[in-house]
Amino acid sequence: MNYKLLKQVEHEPLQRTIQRASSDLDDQSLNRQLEVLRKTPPRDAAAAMRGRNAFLAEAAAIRDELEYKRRRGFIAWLSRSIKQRINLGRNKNKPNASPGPLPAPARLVYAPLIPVVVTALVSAAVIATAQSSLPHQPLYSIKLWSEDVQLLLTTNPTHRLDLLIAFANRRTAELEALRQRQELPSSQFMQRFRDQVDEALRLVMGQANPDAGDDGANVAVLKQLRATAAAPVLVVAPTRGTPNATATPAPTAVSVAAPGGTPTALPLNSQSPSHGTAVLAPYRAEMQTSDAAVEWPTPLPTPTRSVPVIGGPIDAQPTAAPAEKTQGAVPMADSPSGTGISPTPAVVDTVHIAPVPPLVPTPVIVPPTPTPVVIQPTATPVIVPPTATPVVIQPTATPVLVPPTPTPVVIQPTATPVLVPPTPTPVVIQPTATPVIVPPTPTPMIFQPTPTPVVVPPTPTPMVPTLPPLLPTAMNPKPPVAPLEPILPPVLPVDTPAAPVPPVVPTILVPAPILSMGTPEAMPTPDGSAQLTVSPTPDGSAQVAVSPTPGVTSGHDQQRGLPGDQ
Amino acid sequence: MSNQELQETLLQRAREFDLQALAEIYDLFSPVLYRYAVRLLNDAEVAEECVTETFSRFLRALKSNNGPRKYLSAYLYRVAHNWITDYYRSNHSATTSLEELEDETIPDHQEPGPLQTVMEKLAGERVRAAILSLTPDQRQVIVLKYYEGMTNEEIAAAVDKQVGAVKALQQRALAALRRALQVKGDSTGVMDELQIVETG
Repeated sequence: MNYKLLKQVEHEPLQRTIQRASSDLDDQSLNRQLEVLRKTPPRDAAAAMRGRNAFLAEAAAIRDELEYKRRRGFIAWLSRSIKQRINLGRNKNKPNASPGPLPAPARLVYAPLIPVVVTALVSAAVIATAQSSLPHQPLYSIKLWSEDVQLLLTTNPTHRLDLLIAFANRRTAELEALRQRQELPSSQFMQRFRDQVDEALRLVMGQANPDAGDDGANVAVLKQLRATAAAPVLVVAPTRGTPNATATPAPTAVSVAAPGGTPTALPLNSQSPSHGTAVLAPYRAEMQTSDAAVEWPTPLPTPTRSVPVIGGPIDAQPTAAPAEKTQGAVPMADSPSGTGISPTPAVVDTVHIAPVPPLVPTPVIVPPTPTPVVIQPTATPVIVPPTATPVVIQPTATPVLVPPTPTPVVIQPTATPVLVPPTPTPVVIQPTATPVIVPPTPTPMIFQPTPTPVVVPPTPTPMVPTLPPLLPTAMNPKPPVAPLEPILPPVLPVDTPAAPVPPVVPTILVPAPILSMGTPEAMPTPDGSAQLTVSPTPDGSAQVAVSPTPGVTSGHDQQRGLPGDQ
Repeated sequence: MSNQELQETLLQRAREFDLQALAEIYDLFSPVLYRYAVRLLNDAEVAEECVTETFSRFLRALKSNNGPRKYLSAYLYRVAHNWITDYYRSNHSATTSLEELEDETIPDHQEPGPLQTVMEKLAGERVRAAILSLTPDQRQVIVLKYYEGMTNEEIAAAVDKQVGAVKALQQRALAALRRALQVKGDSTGVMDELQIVETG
């Protein structure tokens, strides 16, 4: 009742006093209660001593264990160091994280080895990385150096041969990689390639056993590699804007990079010219000019030598079929890109290009006339050095199609001068019907009896223009051909007694329509002073005999006042 | 050399497994830890086991390059406290709640010995249960303040806290103890009951 009344009154000062008094009572009570635990039973001294001894024994054991680990040597120290570094990385605030000093004996032994080991590891990593490098790359010299070291340390011929073959295969792969990257190998690269293959060949020959098939196979492979090493790198580079009389697409150029020389160009007729440039390695097989032009649009260095080649797609297969290579010369000429040859589409389908040693430029002279071409015997043919066996360009099974116009030129660069294929078509050449009179010679006068084709004997003629049959003309075999004009036969003196036969009988070419083969026929000269007797000969020609007409005197004799007149 | 400097010096030598320093550490802190453990465990053997295990953990920490960096006493108290907590956790029957203590009756076979001894035991169990119900920080502050006689500054250095934080922990710990020890609204507590029994 009083409590309720007190709460109703809410006499605050009295409440605070009561609460403070209650809190003091609580603290005192709490202190008294906590004092219950202040008294603790005394510790057993023996138990305390055992605990102390156990603690120190455990500490000594750990100390010995750590000391033993420290004495284990450099490896333990290294692992501990790594572990400490990791721990430091995780908690950098922790002091005293040192792995501890390396034991003195181990320090003396292992400390000098640290830089050696580090250097060896770095070198191994660099050399391993360099094995995948290519020429023109920074690490490629390290790769070659490692190969040299390997060869230097290998004295066993068999193992050395294996190494050389492996290195030659590396070179081949590098060439392939260079081809894909549109880069040309350096002369040092090709020289190294050749040297390695040559040495391998020498080793194989030195160990050659005729009965061993493996050696024979090795020799064949090595010879193939040698051919590859000696081969030039071909670059197919379509030229732009080549002057051409017929305004046809410019021929494609095949650049030949001789081993150590400047890339040269072989202009080709292409169906897709002026699209780009292609790099070819002749050791690797086929190359389609059109495809190459699409794939490699980057132009290459300007070619310096060129030779016209007729054909469309080109197929270079030196490595794929080395036995099919034809050793021959490449007709090359220091001529401008436009040689005046009218390109003919798809006359030759494929061209086999064989590896070649350094080439000697040989001129190819092609008359620039688009219509009937007169080939002079004195024209310089394609000169092939006897030792040169360069790129062979030969027609394949595809027949050479001769279109009516313009005249194609077929080049057969072999070791010997290009032979003229025996074709029935005549080499011709004056499309005039006027007779050609040859200067007088001691030989009997021979007429060309019929307009039969003149067969040119097989002479060293580089290029044979195949022309359609033209009008019957006569050809003077000796250059130069003088302007042809009708010349009358010499007039014999009329008053001269009938002489049997003049000492010199001129050869007269009589126009064909005048002549008629058959029995001897006599005809008078235009002035009537002499008479011509034409008689056929067994060889098909005609013999003409001149006899003076009786009673006729030439004007010339009259002017001179011959004794007979007086 | 102050107490803190002494601890740091001993700790530095202990990291190199100087047996002399380790012995000094044991002699200096094992009695304190024993008292701390026996107050909370109310068993001398278990308290001795707690002390042994605490120092063993300390050695293993030094071996793995861990352990205390500055405050050695605080580290040892914390290890002992964790061990006691694990002990009570794994041995649930070892402790009794305050309610169980209230309902607990004196066994018949027990000798009629001094009643005060029994009641002190009961009072001790109640206070121990109340202390164990505190948070670790509150418990450590209470033990160091009321049983080890440390000042607030020493406690702050031992538990690696600010003095203000130590005071706050102490106030909250006392409030929790008041609530725990006045289970039935009896503000006088066990000792008052004991006085009533003695007088009654």
